[in-house]
Amino acid sequence: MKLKFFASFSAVLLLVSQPLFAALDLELTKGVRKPIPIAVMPFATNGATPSTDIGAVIGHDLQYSGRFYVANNQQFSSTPSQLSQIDFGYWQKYNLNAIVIGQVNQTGNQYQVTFSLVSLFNNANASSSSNNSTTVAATPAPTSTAATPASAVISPATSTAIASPTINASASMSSAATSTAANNAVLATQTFTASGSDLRKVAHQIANMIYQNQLGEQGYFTSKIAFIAVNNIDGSPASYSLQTADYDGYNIHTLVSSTEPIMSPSWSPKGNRIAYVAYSKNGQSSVKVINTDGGGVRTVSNTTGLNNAPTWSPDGSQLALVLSKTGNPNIYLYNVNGGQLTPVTQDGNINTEPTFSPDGKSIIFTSNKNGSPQLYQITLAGGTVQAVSNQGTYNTDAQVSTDGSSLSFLQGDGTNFNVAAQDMSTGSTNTLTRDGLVQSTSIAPNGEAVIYSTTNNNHQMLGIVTIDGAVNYFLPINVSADLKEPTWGPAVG
Amino acid sequence: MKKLQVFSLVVLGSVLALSACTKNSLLYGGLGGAGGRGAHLGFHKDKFKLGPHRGLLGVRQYFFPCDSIVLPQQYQTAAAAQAQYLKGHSGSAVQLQGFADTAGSPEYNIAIAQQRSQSVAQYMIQQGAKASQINVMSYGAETNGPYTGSSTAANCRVDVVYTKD
Repeated sequence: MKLKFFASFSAVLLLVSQPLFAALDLELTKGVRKPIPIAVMPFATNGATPSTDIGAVIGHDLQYSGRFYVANNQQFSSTPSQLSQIDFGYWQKYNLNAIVIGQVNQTGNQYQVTFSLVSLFNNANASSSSNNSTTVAATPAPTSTAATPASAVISPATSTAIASPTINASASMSSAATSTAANNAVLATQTFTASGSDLRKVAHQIANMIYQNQLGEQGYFTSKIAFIAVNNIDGSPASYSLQTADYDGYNIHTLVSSTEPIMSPSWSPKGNRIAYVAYSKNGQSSVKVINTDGGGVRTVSNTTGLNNAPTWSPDGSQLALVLSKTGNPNIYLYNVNGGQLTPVTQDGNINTEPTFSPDGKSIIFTSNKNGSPQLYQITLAGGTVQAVSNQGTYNTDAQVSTDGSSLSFLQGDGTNFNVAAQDMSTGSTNTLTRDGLVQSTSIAPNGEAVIYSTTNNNHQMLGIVTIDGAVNYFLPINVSADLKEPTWGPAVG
Repeated sequence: MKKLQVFSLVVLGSVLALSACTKNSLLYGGLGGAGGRGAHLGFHKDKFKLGPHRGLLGVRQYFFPCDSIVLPQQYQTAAAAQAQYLKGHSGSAVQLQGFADTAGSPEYNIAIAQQRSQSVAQYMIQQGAKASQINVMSYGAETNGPYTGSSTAANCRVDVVYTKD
């Protein structure tokens, strides 16, 4: 049966005025990994009045990760919310690997959210006439985009080219055996208790569980981002703020605000602190650390000259940062507990933008020692330097994913600046964006996506692009401030 | 022609500079020569108020080609004049603020801009100023607007700001 898919992605570049998750680009055939087809049912609310549509948040997480195709529910005549309501004979007519069902119950101001991820393979409830590999003429689906984000229109025709396993239908079973078979089809199930304001977090936790179950990898849906918001008055920057948010742009909190520049946010490995650079009115830059609840601000470094580009070591014991004590920018290690400073680079060139390798034993950084800014790697014990970037005239702003799989960086040619990623095992590099106006990049903890800042209609916005370049969208943060220097926090529960 | 105060000329930018009297237009140094458009002066707009303004001493913005971090020859006499002033006024001090064009990554631009102000500092010290009178710092591209695809020449500069008269 032909499937209509959920999120609509258009090949046409979409404007920032789209309210929700405006997709910039989708190339359905890009990348070697085929997205997993899945259905996510609306969660039954049983009289509860949650302000979060949990099924929609799960569906967005999975679809926009680029690893799933989430079916458009409008084509289905069934909306099960419990295992016993799943008619496997019906569902197995579609090319779906699994279905997500759930319920929300409310007691006072607490909610209980239950979900199940149910396999649509290997289910003995299939009637003898159904077979996953049969192509059944689709019931004409209504061509409306009412239920989908205003942004996108997907073309279902191309998306049916997804291989699905051939299941030989067995004869229908007795009802006792049927419910056993149904239970065997449950891949994951959990009940959460949460307040109304935490329901998005629950949805993201569920999405992580689905992602882990289907892909064997940790998802990033509960992770946070930090970034700088600059408000301008008459074209001049009037205030700078350090802000955090959920990775999808919701739940924005301001940690610091100033009339002087704030820049270079960096998450501690456990996600409980952020290092950043703040300027005082007299132009002195300092590296500071703040707790993610906004308390505990302390100054780490404010030597004469530069105090910039802080980044945490994977074990949280050190910060690498940039000072100009020698007259030019060089990289130092700062011991977070004892305050000792150790030089890492010691030449007369520009050395900046340090980032640790996941094993903490080396630092990748930007240097112009060979004439143009390029990426290099230096081992901390011994100081051996080797080149990391292998093409082009401008490669800066590197970050290695926590799992060590990929390196994101900014790739320029003098005029155009785009997000690029390098596979850490093969060294092969891909350019992931095309607008040429990208300023800053940061990679997801699992290396599967990159968040970046770019200009759209003379206004800086945050976007996310998947590591194969196939999915690309703006975060739905519609403020007049310019948003820059996003940094992706660790994968947290 | 109505005489305008120095700091308000700074705020009003290049439009006024072009129409100002020859004497006052020296304040903007190469504003006309560096692509014409005034530098982004809304940030800290009173910063040029302190310090001497007569003649070359009023040239407080040194514009670099955007691919260079070396003080351009055309500003050497202005930098030398400031150095002479500092040499003769041991209680005076300046902050050299480096700026960079928005293209590229923010921290690399901080570093480029720092190299620019360092280059001016080195020249001034050669010309007689004391290192203790000069504070070298960088704003990089942090006070610019968003990158729109091409360089803005006026962003590539060092501002000479007196912190002590």
